Amino acid sequence: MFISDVTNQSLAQALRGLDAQRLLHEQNIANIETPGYLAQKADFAGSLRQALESGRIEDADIEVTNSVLPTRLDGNNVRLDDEITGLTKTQLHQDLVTTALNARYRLLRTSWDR
Amino acid sequence: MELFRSLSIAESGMDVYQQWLDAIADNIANINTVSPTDEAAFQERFVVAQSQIGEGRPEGAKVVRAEFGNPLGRIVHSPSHPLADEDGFVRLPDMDLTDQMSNLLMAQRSYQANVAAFERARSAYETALEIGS
Repeated sequence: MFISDVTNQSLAQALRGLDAQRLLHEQNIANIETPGYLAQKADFAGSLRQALESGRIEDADIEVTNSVLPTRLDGNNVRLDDEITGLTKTQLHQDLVTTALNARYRLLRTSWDR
Repeated sequence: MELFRSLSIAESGMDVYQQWLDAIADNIANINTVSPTDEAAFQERFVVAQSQIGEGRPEGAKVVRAEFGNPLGRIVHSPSHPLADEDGFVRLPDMDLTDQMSNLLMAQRSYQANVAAFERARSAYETALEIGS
């Protein structure tokens, strides 16, 4: 069925992953002065690709990893320019995925308007 | 291929100039740091940047190491200073405030240039996303 085919499911999973990324960037910025805090990042692309290759899209999940960058003296390794760049990229990526989803739905609407 | 590559490249430039700014600030903070003659003077800090290439594509710049200036410094006659040796000499860092200030300007302007590149790239990508809408 068109509404929940594999393309739309992948796009939806990408949106979930991007939302997790945005949340972690925000959390990292909030903790930029917290001693001992390690920056975290979310990756959904690797798992999504594996799920697509195995044909089981529902297996796709979001991996959260700690950053391995060197820490400052207080044990924190959040870098503001990294986080801001990440947020900007995530936003652009979200726009891209949303545009793709909108195009799919526009196609669907065209068919039921006839 | 990584999506939105120019954003990462501009960010790597920002990181390099941020570290250079840190080094210059450290140098300026220590411009009058006095050491006794039997110890090394404060050594001017330099950062060494290197361009990065990954899979044949540019990946911006990175600070690969720090270099340090002359540990001998300048010997200055200052007999009333508490750190002076029996002949009345102390060591001051071999640095020039004029150099540091012009480096500071260069580092600041270069950082701003990278932020400008970042903003231009972002606005270009945003335009690309408007295609067909």
